[in-house]
Amino acid sequence: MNVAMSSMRDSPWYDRWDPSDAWSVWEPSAADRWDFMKVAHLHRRAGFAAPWDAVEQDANRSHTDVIGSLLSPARTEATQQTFEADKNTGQILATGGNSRQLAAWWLLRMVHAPEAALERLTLFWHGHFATSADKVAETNLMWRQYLSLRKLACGPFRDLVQEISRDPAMLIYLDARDSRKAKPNENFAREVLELFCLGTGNYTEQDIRELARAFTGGGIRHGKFFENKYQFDEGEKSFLNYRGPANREQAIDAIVDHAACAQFIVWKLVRQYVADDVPRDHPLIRHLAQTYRDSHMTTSVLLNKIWSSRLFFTDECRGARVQGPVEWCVGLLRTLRISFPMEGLAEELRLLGQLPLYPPSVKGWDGGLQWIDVRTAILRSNLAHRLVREGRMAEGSPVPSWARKDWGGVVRELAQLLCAQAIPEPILDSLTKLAEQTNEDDQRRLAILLGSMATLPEFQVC
Amino acid sequence: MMTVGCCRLGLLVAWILANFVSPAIALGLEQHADDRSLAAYLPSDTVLYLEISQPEAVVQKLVQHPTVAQALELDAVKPNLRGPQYLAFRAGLSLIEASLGAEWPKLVADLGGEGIAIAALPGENRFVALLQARDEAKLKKAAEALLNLSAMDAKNNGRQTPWRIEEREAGKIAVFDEFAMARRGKILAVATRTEDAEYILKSSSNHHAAKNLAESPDFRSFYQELREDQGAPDSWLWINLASLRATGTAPALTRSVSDNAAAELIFGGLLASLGANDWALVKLFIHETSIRLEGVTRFDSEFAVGRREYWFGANGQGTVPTWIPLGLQSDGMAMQLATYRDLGQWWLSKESLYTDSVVAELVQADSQLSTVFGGLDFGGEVLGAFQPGVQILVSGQPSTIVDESNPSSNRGLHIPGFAIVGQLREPRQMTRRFKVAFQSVLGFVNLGLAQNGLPQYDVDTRTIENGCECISRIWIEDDADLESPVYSFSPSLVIKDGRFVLGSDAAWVKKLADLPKPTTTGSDTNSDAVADPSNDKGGASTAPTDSHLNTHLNLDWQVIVNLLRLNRDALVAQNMIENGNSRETAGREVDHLLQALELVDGVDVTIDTTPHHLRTRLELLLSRDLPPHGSEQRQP
Amino acid sequence: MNSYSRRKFIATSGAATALSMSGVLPQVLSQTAAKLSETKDMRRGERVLVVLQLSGGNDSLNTLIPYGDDGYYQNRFTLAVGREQVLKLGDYCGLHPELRPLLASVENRRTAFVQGVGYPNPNRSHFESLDLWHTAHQMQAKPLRGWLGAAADRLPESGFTPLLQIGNEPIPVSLLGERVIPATLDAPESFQRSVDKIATASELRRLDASVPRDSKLLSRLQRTNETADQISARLRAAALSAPRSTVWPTTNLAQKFKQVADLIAADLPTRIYHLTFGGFDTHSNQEPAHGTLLSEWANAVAAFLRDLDEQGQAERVLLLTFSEFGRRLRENASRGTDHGAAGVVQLSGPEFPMPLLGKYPSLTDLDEGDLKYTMDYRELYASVLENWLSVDSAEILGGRFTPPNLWINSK
Repeated sequence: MNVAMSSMRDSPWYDRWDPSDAWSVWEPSAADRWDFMKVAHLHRRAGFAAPWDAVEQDANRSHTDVIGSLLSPARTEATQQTFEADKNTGQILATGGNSRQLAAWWLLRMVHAPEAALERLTLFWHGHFATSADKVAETNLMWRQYLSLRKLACGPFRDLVQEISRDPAMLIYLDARDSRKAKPNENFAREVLELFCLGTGNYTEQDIRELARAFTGGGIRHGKFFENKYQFDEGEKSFLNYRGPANREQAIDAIVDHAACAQFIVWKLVRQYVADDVPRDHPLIRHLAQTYRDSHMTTSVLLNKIWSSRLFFTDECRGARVQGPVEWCVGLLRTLRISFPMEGLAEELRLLGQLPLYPPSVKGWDGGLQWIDVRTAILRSNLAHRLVREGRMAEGSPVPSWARKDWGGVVRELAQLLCAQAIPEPILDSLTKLAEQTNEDDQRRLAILLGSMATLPEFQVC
Repeated sequence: MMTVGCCRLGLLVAWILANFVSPAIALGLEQHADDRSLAAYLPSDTVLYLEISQPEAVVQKLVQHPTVAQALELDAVKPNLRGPQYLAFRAGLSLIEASLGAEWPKLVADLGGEGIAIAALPGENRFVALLQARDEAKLKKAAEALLNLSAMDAKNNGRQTPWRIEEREAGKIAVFDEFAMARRGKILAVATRTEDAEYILKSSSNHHAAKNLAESPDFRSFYQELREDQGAPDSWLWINLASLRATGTAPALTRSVSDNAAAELIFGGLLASLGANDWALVKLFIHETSIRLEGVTRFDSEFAVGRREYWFGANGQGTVPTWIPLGLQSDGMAMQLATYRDLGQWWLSKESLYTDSVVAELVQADSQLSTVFGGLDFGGEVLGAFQPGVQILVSGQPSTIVDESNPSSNRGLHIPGFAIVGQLREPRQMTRRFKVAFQSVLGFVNLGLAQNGLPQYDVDTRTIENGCECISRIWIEDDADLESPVYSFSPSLVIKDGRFVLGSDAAWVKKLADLPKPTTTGSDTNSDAVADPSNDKGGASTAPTDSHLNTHLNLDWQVIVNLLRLNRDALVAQNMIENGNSRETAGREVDHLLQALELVDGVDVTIDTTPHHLRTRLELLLSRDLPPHGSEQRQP
Repeated sequence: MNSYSRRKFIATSGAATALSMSGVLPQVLSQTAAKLSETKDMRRGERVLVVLQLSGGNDSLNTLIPYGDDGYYQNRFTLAVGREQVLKLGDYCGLHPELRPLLASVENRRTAFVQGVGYPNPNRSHFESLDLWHTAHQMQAKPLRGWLGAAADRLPESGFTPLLQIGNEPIPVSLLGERVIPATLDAPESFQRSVDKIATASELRRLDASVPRDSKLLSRLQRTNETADQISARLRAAALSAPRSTVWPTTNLAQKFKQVADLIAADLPTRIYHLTFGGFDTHSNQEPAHGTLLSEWANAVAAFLRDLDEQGQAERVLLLTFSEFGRRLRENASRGTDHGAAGVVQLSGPEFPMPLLGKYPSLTDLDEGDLKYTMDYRELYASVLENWLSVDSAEILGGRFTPPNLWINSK
């Protein structure tokens, strides 16, 4: 792919950037101010699209404060309390044993949670360490996996992999719950190398077989991980650069220390937070991977660097990603302050191809252009229409022009909040006309407007 | 005329509501035109016929009813009374009131003064509403005003007049899109089909010449009774079962065998009676402290011989058991159900009660259960070991099995306690059988739990004097497991002196088993032993002494609401997921619901038989305590 | 996106617009039709596969009845269909009388029955046998994929879901692919935007398609939307262009087939449709239940074939009806039949050399009381994959199976 691209007359946008320049800290200037558009972009990318007043408020704060507080560990007590209450609710639903309901709970949390960026990052890790409730029938285990991912989302990547290597839901999902000395299960070892840590091309089949021996003896008892030392293979193993009698923990350490690991994870995070199409071995990635290693692969440090970077706020980066179904819906509901039946939303998301807790395979969601085909393009428009038409709107105005019934204003303000790239003027005019000519009550008018906006390409990217 | 424009729909709705759908009515037959029911204007195959004989009295009752006042004060309702929809409705109503020159209660009295009726005719979407006015001139004026208002309103909105006048043989009919309206003399009819409106015109002109509903002998005799009865209902519904069956819309009434094992056990006798009769009657009584529905149909004790004997008892004299006294309020009882069902006999009759596939399933279940009971035939020998009758109890005080020192155990779901009570015919033979069966079942359950890595039950069984005690408790190996909410579920069985108590909570089961035997001769079919639940309620009808109480269900609503309150977290969770609400909104909605539920104090349902009638009574007891803010008088 | 795939995408989405609607559309839609037929028609002629699953295990012995074999009458003492009632196809076997609606198509050689289809070591569990049929014995493949999904993965990109399940059942394993995402359609409305009913909104769509976008990503999404507009318009047109004279039964199955026919009429680029029809697990009192099922099936299929004929599309649609297994030769004590092994597969569409393909299994040489297969279903699959969908079958089937020449002009 890369070869084909560089042979083109104009090279791809990422080749035109010097890495250290791209990731250097962005500073506002008279020509390039910290403004509404930048805040809206930051919210859409780091968390979910945010309502008008929240964006306005952040535009009046210092940009370092806003970016710094996104994943700040010193979250307020109020935020903690809200999460404790939500956690109690989630626990009740998890005990209820219906994972669809738990998925609905999570979606609801994304819509209402103050710490949107953390939920978004947890969703990313869930897609990375993909585990599906379709196979893991026990909702409680999916619930505990969610809590682990959320707890360790911002911290060192090593802790996350250590935890996931002992996570009952994951072990069930990969059939790795009773890997015995005599017959090591290679599935988990393969995915750790291929999908979780290194990526293809950085290991051999022999590495997989050796690594699988280090993971023997693991099992689940009473819904918890336990080690059966009689089934653990204590012999010498030799994989990647490691030689020794590694156990589970030591093996993970060795893999995380491998040079390819930081680069692989950075690449995935860049795809999630910057652009769909930067190649894995691009200098932009390699540069950032060094930063990641320097911070002991602490993800919050890396993300803060990305979100503070010059590249992040350029026009090239804006609109360079196709929005996944979850961020797309959640952003819509957050922005317009709409309540919508969450199990219904979960079903819609299944049709759109991204129902949390139900990734299609251990690869997670491919994302990018895969999100949108003809069918989902139609579904997205219908869902936007349905969310507004059947949802319950909070009192007050979603955008300032709403109260004045200035539809041209409403159209433009919504576009500012929801679209990363400017919708061409004639189309904005056409949308205004559409809203003005609709002979319905305001909510239905808005539904038709959103349903129509959702047919535009600008509405799908972020 | 701006108002008209806004309220076109509200206006029609208001008018129809005020006149036809007022939910309750009182009788005033002495004033009734010619002592004839409005049913005289309807065809004899009318399926459902609801009459409010004295609308004025019913409206008064509702306007002054304390529960209505309470309901209007609810947090969930009050804001809506200032909302745009209600205001639009009020505006429409005022417009009608203004053009007819009276407030709506007065209009109801004037226009429907001599009775309002709603009927469903066989066929799709055939409904007729009838009213008979005291004053022909006022009715004429009202009908004309309605037509004018709707025409004017349409004109203001740039639409065509929504009706046209059709000249039919029997007279003029105003035909709207969805319904037709016709008037003759003091009678006004609104029907969903023009032909039916015309039928009313005809039948009211040739003075009931056609074969009509009121002429059927059953209807006449009932109507006679009703007129002589002092405690006449506020409204009543005549169900023409023969006609209903003919429409095919109620397959449950025509089916000879059931395809649902549980439904037959619960409703079998009722459905069978309805299936065998030509009519049923439902009466509605509104009192200050209760709302009561009474259903009556014919009952022939011969009917209770044969396959439904398990339901009614021999000669229809089966009576509820009272091993656990019916009025046991002290235990925080949320629900008490006592019913005469002879399960052994039920099992033996299954081939005649059920479809082949259900019978096949039951037979299969029988063979599986027989294994548990060491080879005893489940239907015949196990169910047959019980005397007729079952009591099912639900306690509103769940005791949690997690130790009290752990506060986190209060989270999660609180499910009520359940118990089922029976009486063994031959305690000595069967007690050990059940004890062993209990051990087998719990052992089986434990295997399943263990396979899924879940905590298992620690089963403790022992023989006691005249019985046995089988107690189980969840065995928790590791304190960390207490993080997840644990249900208060410790299945237990106690048999004492032949009293069989199987329930979900050990302490409660023991307590129920220890309750002294009732002082009377007890559990057979002696009806004197049975407290008549209708004695102290409503005061309208006292059961005749030859009645046999077949089923009695009592719900203590306050206990149920308390239970719901304990589970508020779970209800909020459910609301959040279902509606996508934030925690605050969901909490508010749940609290509104709980508040509304508190308008009710209890529910009492009985089924009893007399030599000639099968009666079902449902009584909703209303809260007497007004909420603190609801004291001031309100006119709706 | 690289330059190759971009060109390819534009080419294929262009193709998607290209369906000629001539002769089908009423005057009202001529404008749309003119737009749609601007480019040369490339889609028409691509073959479509419709797979119908008879869930529960259809009794093949009472579908294709070996009336010429006494063994049949000796083992089916209450369930046997009398010799005189069988719709005879030759002197050994014939159709159940309820399948009469299919007779015309059988006589025209557009419907054929493949006899004795099964596989070695028959599995008599519904679930497991279905899994085998769905994955072509590739249960161990990771990620799990079905034979139809794997086939769709190998079909040329069309910018549109190549697999559609009609109905509201969960997506069967057979449709899972590595690349393609199967879709379920239970109502054609789901391919229509709610807002497209509004005149001003369609104005917006026209405008959106005509305003060029700078970003490559945006213009690619713009094209996807355009294709969506076109397909949705086509579906609407198909719905409006009602005058096809086929009278469809009101049964659930017939309505599913009607949807497929409507979508084919709308020239949807979808290549594979999957339908499910359940209730064939006839352990007790098989008659008249089984007859009723066969009747519903035959009437629905007959209507489908009539409609395709009328559309002039019959030759590009292959219908394959299978069931996870046949049933035991000897009937049981409850006037029913238990799970068996080899069964019968029905094919409709292309021209067949004869109404009966393959060989009827022996009624005496049995495998634990069940018919032994005379054709491995994977050979049948190979034929469908190679000769109908033009897809290499070896990878999908986990080995090389020789495709039998089932229909005339297979290649």
